[in-house]
Amino acid sequence: MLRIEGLTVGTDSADLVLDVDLELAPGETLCLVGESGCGKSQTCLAAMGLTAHPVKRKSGAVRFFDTELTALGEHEFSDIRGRDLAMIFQDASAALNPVKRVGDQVAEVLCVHRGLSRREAMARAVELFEMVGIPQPPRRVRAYPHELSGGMCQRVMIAMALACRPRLIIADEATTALDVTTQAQILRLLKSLQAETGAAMLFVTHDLGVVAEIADRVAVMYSGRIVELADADALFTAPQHPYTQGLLACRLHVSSTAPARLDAIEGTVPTPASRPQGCAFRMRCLRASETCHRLPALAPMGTGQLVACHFPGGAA
Amino acid sequence: MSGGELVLTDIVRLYGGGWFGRHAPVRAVDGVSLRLEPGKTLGIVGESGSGKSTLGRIAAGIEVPTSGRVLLNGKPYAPMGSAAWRRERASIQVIWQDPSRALDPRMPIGGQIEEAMAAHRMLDRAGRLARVGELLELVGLGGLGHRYVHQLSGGQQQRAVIARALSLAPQIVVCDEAVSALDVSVQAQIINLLNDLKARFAISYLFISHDLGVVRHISDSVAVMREGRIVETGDAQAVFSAPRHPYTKALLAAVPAATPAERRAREALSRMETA
Amino acid sequence: MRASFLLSKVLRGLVTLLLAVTFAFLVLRVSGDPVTLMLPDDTPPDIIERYREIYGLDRTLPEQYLRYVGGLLNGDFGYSFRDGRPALDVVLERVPQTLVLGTAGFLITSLVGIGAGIVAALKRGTPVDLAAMGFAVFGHSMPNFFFGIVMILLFAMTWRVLPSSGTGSFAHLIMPAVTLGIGGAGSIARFTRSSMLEVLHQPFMRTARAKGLKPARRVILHAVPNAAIPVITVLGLRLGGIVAGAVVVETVFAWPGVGQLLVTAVAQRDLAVVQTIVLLVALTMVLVNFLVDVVYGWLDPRMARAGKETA
Repeated sequence: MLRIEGLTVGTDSADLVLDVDLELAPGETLCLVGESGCGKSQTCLAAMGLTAHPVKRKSGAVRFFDTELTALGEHEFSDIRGRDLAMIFQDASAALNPVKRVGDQVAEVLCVHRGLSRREAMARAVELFEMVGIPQPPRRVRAYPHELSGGMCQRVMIAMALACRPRLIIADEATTALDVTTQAQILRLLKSLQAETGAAMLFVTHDLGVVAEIADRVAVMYSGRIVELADADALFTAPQHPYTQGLLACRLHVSSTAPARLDAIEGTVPTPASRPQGCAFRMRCLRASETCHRLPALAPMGTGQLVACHFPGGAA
Repeated sequence: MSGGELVLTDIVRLYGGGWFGRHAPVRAVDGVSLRLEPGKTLGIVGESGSGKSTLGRIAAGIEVPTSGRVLLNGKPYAPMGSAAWRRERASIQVIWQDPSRALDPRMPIGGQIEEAMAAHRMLDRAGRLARVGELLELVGLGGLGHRYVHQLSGGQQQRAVIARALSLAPQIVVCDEAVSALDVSVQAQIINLLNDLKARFAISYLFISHDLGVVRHISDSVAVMREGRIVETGDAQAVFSAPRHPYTKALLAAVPAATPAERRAREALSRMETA
Repeated sequence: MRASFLLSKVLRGLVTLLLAVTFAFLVLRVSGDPVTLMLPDDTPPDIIERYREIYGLDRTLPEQYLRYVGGLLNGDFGYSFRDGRPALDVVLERVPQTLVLGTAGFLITSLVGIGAGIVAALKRGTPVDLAAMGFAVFGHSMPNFFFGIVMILLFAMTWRVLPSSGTGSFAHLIMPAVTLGIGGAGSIARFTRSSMLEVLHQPFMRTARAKGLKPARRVILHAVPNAAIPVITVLGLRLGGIVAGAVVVETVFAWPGVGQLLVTAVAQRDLAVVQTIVLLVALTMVLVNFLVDVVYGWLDPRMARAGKETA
């Protein structure tokens, strides 16, 4: 129900997202994984039409059910945003209006999209607060963002996003700023709400643990492009792209003992302006050769995965 | 040269308290005793509000506890701000979470490392410059001494901070979320670097983090903090594989699974337990 | 906590008042002899001495000061040299006119200034923005008396659409109010613009857009309330500029308010009147500052509360 094709986003001087293709079915959770600067956030912003000057969508199509989002004017798009498509941002305390009560901010979505009166909307907001696990909803609804902890603010954001029961939820690093226990609660909450409403979720994160917890499918991004696209299980058990393999190898998970010397990927992510020709990862890849000067296309492997590499597979 | 030894005894740190004790003060650290052994890494884990950062600052001598004692190699810190205290700073360095704020944006990083040494009157100018070159090589920034902060990536910035800390030949380095703001692949590089340096220069680390995986990997022993108190300590591997305190268990249970398979196994287990 | 906060504010206000009056007191007496100014040039010295005695000007400075302050506390503000009436009456009868002019000028400063600032911020970088900021610089740097005189030349003399001076109708108010308000409007516009720009880039504005709110709603209900907070404080401070400006504007347009009175009273060394006006102005400023603090605390919920509830 969401199809992104050939999305390219960037500024006049550099491209941040290059030729990204993604698909999402109803009820499915797709995790967009990558490190800082890979373009995962910009992809989501572009899909929702929220890119801010100087960044703009340069080409590509974003199809949401039967509507071509890129063809919509700002006015028509506003009707869809918040109602059928919702986004949850990373730093919830900063993403909420500091001078308005949180209940009002949630109720606003209902007033604008569902035409509810203020009283009806506030009543519904109290219900939503209860649903997302905020204690004492009638009281908390009157609080201001600075009076709530990070975890609470994130729950408010979720309530706000889910108010109109959207078909698609885009979460951009929604749990990154939270404690591990709060993160666990929020992830569980999102999954249960998703199961209840049948919404699809596009979850952006750099944390492979989060991916393991919630993803059905995973797309790995590096320097603006998708380098691997696979089912969650397949990605963890048999990663194909050298970058994915590197990421999994250098993970430090509390439940396992990693080797004393970590298998770090040498080098750093190139800046958009200094992105190398061909495969962007070749400067850091142990398998790189002359062939890698030619950009590898995202091609299917036998296992059902899509990989953009000339030398995929091999031992992790 | 062996690393420094740090002993904290009954550290309490209170904040606030209103007028005439109208409001109860915030007990950021509420009776903590720890020992950092020479040449070892002691990890401190906790969630936000656990007081671990405050404890780190007290351990490093840059914050004075309300009560309790800190002994560096058997001696207490000099009064804060005094000349003796400033000289002591060379023995115990701190690395913070955000390297871009720990470095001066208007000076090349080589210059900043040299400045640190000059402040402690180490070597002469020629000697310092040579040492700067050595240190940069050591941390993987060889030849980049002329660069400014904004010309370096996050990982490179943190390396520069480490080089500067190293230049003073510290015995103890306190790392307060030192790798938390870095990408996973860069984290691995920096952790490798820290371990290499520890082996080479016999530095003791006090590693504070909320990331259990990182702490498990880098620490010899670990202390779990909650609301200003230590709830469990012990050998890192032992604590994480067989936690005793309910809070530690809860923390570990909350960590996201490593793979989907592990997640399903957990879910199955909890279904069985509740059934 | 609240009570002590208020108390300290009140104390500070009182100290400010005392300092202001003391300053006026000293300057007036040190800078010239009121009696000789008041009486004809050829008055014999002993008559001058007698007048001095009557007005208490033959006493030492500290003694005069104490008598004055003592008088104040009893509600005695002294008497005007010019017509012998109580200074307080003389001043108070002029207050309504200045109030009208000041309010009109302040309204212009705030409405024009804030409006221009918001528009400039929304249309940043476009000709509209440049025009608005150009106007702001103009208003800010143009001396108000010059502007007033030019306005009189144009509107009263050349085009004859507005009366050149005096009071009586709404038309009389237009030019003085605009002259008074234009300077402040310029700086308020610049300040509002930068405050708006800062707010527009905040994360919560992106959330508002993501919620599907239309641009107008976003600006009016989300951006402006946040941007207004620092602007309100600056507006309050601007009131000092209104007061200072009123003195000049009233003189240029012969507007019979307190400002005009002040100018003549200073020239004539009408001590009691000047001191009373200074006291009045200082009191106004103290009250306004206090009001600004209260409004700020009310507008920004972060100021009112102290603690944070935890998850």
